[in-house]
Amino acid sequence: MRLVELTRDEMNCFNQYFRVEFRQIPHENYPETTPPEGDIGKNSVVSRSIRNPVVAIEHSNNQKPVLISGFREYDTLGVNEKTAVLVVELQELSEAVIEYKRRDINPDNNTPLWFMGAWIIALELAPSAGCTLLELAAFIGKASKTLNLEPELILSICFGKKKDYTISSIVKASKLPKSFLSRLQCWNIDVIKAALLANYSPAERPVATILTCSLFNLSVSNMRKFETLARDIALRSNLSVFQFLKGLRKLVLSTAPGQINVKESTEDSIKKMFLNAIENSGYQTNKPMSSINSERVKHWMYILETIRFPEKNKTKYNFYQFADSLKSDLNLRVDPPPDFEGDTIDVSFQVRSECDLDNAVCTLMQNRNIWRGLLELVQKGKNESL
Amino acid sequence: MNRFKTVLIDKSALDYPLTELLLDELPDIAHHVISTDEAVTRLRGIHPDASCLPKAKKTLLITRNTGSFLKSMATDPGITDRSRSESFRFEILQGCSMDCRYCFCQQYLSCHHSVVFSNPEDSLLELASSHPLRLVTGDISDSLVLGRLSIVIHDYLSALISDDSIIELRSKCILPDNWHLLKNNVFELDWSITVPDQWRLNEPGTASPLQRIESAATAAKAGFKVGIRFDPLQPERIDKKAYYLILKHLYEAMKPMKPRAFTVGSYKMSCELLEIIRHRFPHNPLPGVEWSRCSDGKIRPFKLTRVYSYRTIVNLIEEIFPTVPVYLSMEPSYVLNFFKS
Repeated sequence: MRLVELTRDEMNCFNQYFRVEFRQIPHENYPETTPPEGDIGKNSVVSRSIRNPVVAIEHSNNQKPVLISGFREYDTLGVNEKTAVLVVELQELSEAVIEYKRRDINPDNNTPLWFMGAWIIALELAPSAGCTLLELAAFIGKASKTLNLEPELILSICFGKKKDYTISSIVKASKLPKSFLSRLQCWNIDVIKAALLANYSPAERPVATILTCSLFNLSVSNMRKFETLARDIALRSNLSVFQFLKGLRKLVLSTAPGQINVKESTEDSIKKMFLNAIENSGYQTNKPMSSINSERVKHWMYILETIRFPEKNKTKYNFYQFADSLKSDLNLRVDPPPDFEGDTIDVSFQVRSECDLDNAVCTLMQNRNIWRGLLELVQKGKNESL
Repeated sequence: MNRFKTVLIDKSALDYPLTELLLDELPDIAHHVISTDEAVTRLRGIHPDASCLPKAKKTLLITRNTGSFLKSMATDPGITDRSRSESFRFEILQGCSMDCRYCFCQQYLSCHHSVVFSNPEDSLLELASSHPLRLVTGDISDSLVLGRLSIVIHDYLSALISDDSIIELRSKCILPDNWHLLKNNVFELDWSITVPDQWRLNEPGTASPLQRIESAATAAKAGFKVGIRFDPLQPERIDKKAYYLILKHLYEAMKPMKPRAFTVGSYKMSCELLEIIRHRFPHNPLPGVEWSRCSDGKIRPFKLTRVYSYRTIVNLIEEIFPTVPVYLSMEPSYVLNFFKS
C-alpha cells in the first residue's frame, strides 16, 4: 500500500482515469494521528486538521474497482484543496483477487466488492471508531491473520453486515478456548469489535479491553487512554490488568453512584475495598450495560486518578482546600499550574465596576499568608502550613 | 570487550588512523568490512523489534561521521546560568551495549549498535570555529563502555582539541586497565551513581555502585577532577538512608580528595519512551510512577516529589561534602533557577 500525493495537474489527469467520490463531511474535525511508517507519512497528512475520506474507482468497462484513495485534505477554514488528495494504491486488492481465484471461488464482476465495501465502510467508520483508515486497514489484516479468520468474516463481525455470525461462531472459528466463550457471552457485538480493534500481542489484553470498554462505555480511542491508566494502576497494585479490571467491574456494578466519597476515603480503604471486590468477583452479571451512566463513569475515573496519582491528587486537594479560605464575593478562582509544573498561580476574578476592582485588590492584599502558603506549595513543594 | 559478538567496519573508515588503533586492540574478535551504504543503512535503521534490541547491542560498528560532531547540549532558554551552555556533545560514540531500563537512547537512536566514529580529525574546522570549552562524550553513550577501546579513542581525541578545552567523560563503568593513558589536565571524569536497589532494578550490565565509587576514588587520587552524578534519582520519594551510605562510602574511598562537583537530576521521559519500557520490560515499575507533563513536553516524576528528593540529597551532600558545589540537571528553568537562588 502506498500513498501518493497528487498535484493539481496530476489530479486533473487522475480524474480522466478514475471516478472520484468524496465523502463530504467538511466540518468534521478528524483526530490528528502520528503518520504511519514508510513513505505514507507525508507531512501534509498531519499538518492540516480537517480531512475527508476519498474513494476512487477506475473508469473501465465493467467498473471493476481496483483503486481506493485515502484522504482528501481541507485547509483549516474547511475550503477544499484539490491538490492535497492522497491516494492509496491497494496492492493487496489484486492479491486478494488472485487469492480468491486460487481457491476456486467463482469470481464474478463483483469479486473484490466485499473488500471494496469493507473499505468504504472503513472510511466511514474510521472517524467514529476513533482510529484512522490506515489503522483500521492494518487491523483487518492483523485480525485476519492472528485469529485465522477470513477477512470477510472479520469485517462482518466488526461492521455488522451479516447478522448471522454469533459470538459462539466467532469463538469456534477463531479456535479460542471455551472458557473464553463463557466470558464473552454477556458482551455485545460492539465490545467484541473493540476487542478486535485492540488486537495486541499480550494474551490478556483483548479480554482486558472488553472489560474496559463495557465497563465505561468508552470509545476505542478513549479506551486506549484509559487502558494505559488501568495498566499503570495495576502495576502499582501488584495485580495483572485483567485482575484489576475484573475487580473494578465488580466494584462498579455493586455500588451506587456517589456511594463512595473519594475525598473521605483513604487510598488504603479504596484499595482494600477493591481487593475484596476482586476476590468476590465473577465475570457474569445480569446487569445491563446501560445501567452504567456517565456520571458513574466520571466518578470512577476520578477514583482511578486518585489511586494512580495519590501524591498529585493529595497536593491538588490541599491546594484547593487552602485556596477556598480566600473565598469572597468576587467569584475568585485560584488554580495551580497544570500538574504543578511551573512556579506561577493563575488568579481570576470578576468585577462589574471600579469600586468592585478596588474591593478586589483590597481583598487580595488582605490574605498575604494564604498567598504565601499557596506560592510556597507550588514553588518549593512545601505544604507544612497546610 | 567481550560485550561484543560482532565488529562491523565501514569500508570508508578503514583508512583512518583511529580505525587502525582500534583494530590493534581487537585481535581476538572477528570483524567484517561492510560497504558504506550498509553502514549508512544501519545507522539510519528503524527502531527494531524490542526482542532484537539486545542482539543489536552486541554489535560494534566503526564508521565515519559525515555530519556535525559538535551538538549543543540543549538547555531550557530560561536558565540563567550561562556556564551550562558552554558544554557540547562531541559525537564520537553513539549507543551503548548496556541496557539501562530508563535509557532515552532506546527511543532517541535509530541504530542500536555501539557506534564509533573513527574520523574525529574531520571535526577540526568545527572545533576551531566553535571553540567549545567542554566536550562531553558520554551523553548518548557511556564514555568507558568500550573498555580499553574507550581510552584509545579519548587519547586520540585529546590530541585534536585545543589546550583550554576539557573533555568530560561520563560513565557507569569501571576504569579500564589502560586508563593511565588519559591526561588529568585534559579529562574530567564523571561517574553516575545510584543506590543498590535502583542499580539492580534498572541498570543491569553496569558496574555496581561500589565499583564505580572505587573507580572514582582511583581517578581522583591520580589527580583527575572527578564529578559525581546522582542522575536519575529514584523516581519515588528518595531513600535517604541508602544515599547517605553511598555518600559516606564515597567520602571514605576518596579521602583526602573530594569530587569537583555533584550533579543531581531526576528522570526525564517521553510518553513514547515509557511505552517502549512498558513493552520491553513489562514488570518494570517505572511506567507506574506518578508522572507529570512539563512545559518542555517531557514527563518527569511529580514536581513535589522531585523537589523533596533534591532538597534531601542536597542536604546530605552539604553534610558530608560541605564545600563541594551541587548542580541540578535535566530540569526546566523554573526548578533550576529556584534551586540556584
